[in-house]
Amino acid sequence: MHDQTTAETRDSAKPVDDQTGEVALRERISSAADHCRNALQMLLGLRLLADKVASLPGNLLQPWFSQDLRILADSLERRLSQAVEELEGAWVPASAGQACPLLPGLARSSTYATVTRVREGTNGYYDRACEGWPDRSVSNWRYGPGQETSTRGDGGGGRVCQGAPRAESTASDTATGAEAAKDDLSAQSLADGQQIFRFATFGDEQFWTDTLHLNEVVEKAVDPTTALKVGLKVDADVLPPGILQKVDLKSPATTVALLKMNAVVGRGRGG
Amino acid sequence: MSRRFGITCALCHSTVDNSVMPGIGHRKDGWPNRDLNVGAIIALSPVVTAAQKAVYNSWGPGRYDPRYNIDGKSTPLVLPPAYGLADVKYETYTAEGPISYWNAYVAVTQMHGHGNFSDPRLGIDIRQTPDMVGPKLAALRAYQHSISAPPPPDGSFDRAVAERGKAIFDKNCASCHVGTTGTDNNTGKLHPAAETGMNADYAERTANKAYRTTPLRALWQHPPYFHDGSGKTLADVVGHYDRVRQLKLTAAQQRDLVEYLKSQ
Repeated sequence: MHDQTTAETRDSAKPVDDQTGEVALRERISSAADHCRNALQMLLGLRLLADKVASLPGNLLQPWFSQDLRILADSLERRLSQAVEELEGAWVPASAGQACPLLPGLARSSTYATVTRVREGTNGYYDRACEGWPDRSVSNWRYGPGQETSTRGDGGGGRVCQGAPRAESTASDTATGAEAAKDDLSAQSLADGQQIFRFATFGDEQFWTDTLHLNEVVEKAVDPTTALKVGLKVDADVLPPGILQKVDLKSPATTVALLKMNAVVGRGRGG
Repeated sequence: MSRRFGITCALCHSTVDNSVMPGIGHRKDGWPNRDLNVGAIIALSPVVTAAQKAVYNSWGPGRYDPRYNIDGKSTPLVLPPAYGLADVKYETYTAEGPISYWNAYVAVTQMHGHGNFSDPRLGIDIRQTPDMVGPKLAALRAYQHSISAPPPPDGSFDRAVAERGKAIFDKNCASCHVGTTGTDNNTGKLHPAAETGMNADYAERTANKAYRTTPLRALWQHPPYFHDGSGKTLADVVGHYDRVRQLKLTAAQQRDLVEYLKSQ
């Protein structure tokens, strides 16, 4: 689990006069290590879930666990990307904070794959102020080496940034990670969160049932065809095989049965 | 006695992949249910007045007004995606608070869950014991943050054209759609309705009275666009800002920009 207290302490202890950038460098590396530890913890969760899937006697619940695995994999990828970003951000020159000498005001990228660098001097560092290409396309376009904006891994001397600079630093992007960084990304927490998202009513039966009496309306008048027409969705993964061919989609009783199966997306289990 | 039931986050912010038939398939958490006619469902209730039914039935599929029961006004919003929120600081169209703020607002004031929500800016102070909302917010946030925006399907946009569009985007759009999230709101910046050419009615009902630059997440997946769904297509969005911001983009440039947006 992420150590929120540690992160807050680190932020509050950040020096205001770090001329060499060394302290900031150490902090970034430390932060990256935190992210890696989170990722490792999630890997453990993935293994546990994989074990569960492997031990299931039938295939009824396997889609659920597969979904859990995908969610964890997504989160893991995000965390690892953050770690890479933090580590790359550690490569700051003594002039950190100064504008890119070639394109002043160019913002820093927070995604590694489109980082454009300009080698600075002989100290082995790069000017982070030039790390600024739009990066939201990374996951979609997969810029490769030699293409317009990708000079990552070329050992320095990278292509000079082109086009209009971002208007302001994207440091805020990483700042917003503060809320995400509070997340407990353990397998248990994510599984709990998924259950809450899908099934928790927070006690709102007091309104939908006790006040609006929509349960009575559904039982009397809402057949599955009508339910689908108003946009309700049905989770096929909880339906017994072949059931749709056997039931009457014009009967409200079928809707009630689907509700009882927790097959109607957005219908809660209480709590 | 009939069985009690309630609703969950997934009602509006999940859909299915229609793999079995339209409306039936595997869950897609975080994908907004743009088919869901929440107003029409509420209007089925026997306790809703005729005047209220008229309002609820006016919203249409994929739209909901999360303040109608608070102030009696109706300017419905498009149901937003709940994916791609990991780096988005303020969740709503008007950026009133972080994700758990809005989760609590919706859970208590819209879903009518049993819990607490207070915001002096809005004059709301609801306290119910036991609190069945607050203890769930942390795990809920973690799960929502874990849901990535879905990438565009293979072949859904022309890469070469989109690359041309990216240059246009960088020159004309990136001062507001900043960084990885595509919003300048992570620094707290908001835009008056007049600046964006949007109808001010909804913003005027909120705490901040202004709009957030919407983060760009899986644009291919969730038309219509803008908080009120007034942009049916990405071409509408580009055309809107071409007029409002006087960008003077040529038709070809607008097409290129649309192609880029399809990749986002």
